[in-house]
Amino acid sequence: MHDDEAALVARAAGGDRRAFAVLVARHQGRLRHFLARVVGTHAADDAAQDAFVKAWLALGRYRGEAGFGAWLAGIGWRAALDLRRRAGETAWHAERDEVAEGPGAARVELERALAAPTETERAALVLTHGHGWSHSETAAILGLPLGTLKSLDAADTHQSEMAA
Amino acid sequence: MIDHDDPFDALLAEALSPPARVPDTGFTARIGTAITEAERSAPGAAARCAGSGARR
Repeated sequence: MHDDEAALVARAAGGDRRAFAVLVARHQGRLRHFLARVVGTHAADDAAQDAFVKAWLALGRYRGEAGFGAWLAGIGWRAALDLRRRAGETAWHAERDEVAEGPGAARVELERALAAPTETERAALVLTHGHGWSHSETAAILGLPLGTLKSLDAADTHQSEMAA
Repeated sequence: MIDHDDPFDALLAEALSPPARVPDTGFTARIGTAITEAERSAPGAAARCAGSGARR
């Protein structure tokens, strides 16, 4: 977390739109990447937009128990699920096409394996292995008990490892 | 526990890490517009900070 993040959050909570724009610029890349991995690139931007708007409206209630990035990721996760529910979509069509052309058969097989699990399983993999959140932080973001998260992660990692 | 010395964990981390990219100013502007619209369409939204004693 940046040193000035708490100050930016406080200013944004006080209604400073410029401070919030800095937070948006700072966090949009990670949030959009996370959501793209879970619900696909197109839906990801809509979910990210919902998340930022909801975060802006809820900043007055943010108490800083979790870092701003983790709090935002949780809002984004719930926004993505809401979006998918409203759209009635079941299929995932994330960034597989882009990465399938990358070097190495193992990487291609890994991408195929990553496409297979449920949204929650993919989200757990991305947050823990790609974004560096701890198991407890990831559990909080996804609204899962820690034990459930650890079981999910172990099963997904094993499944991906077998496929790679 | 994630072990980045493990070749598979390293491959997984590489595949799932967010790319380093310059912030998308168009997306930031889109958020600003969406916030303006949300505050316009939800009468209570503009006063979201009232309960926290924050300035508007």
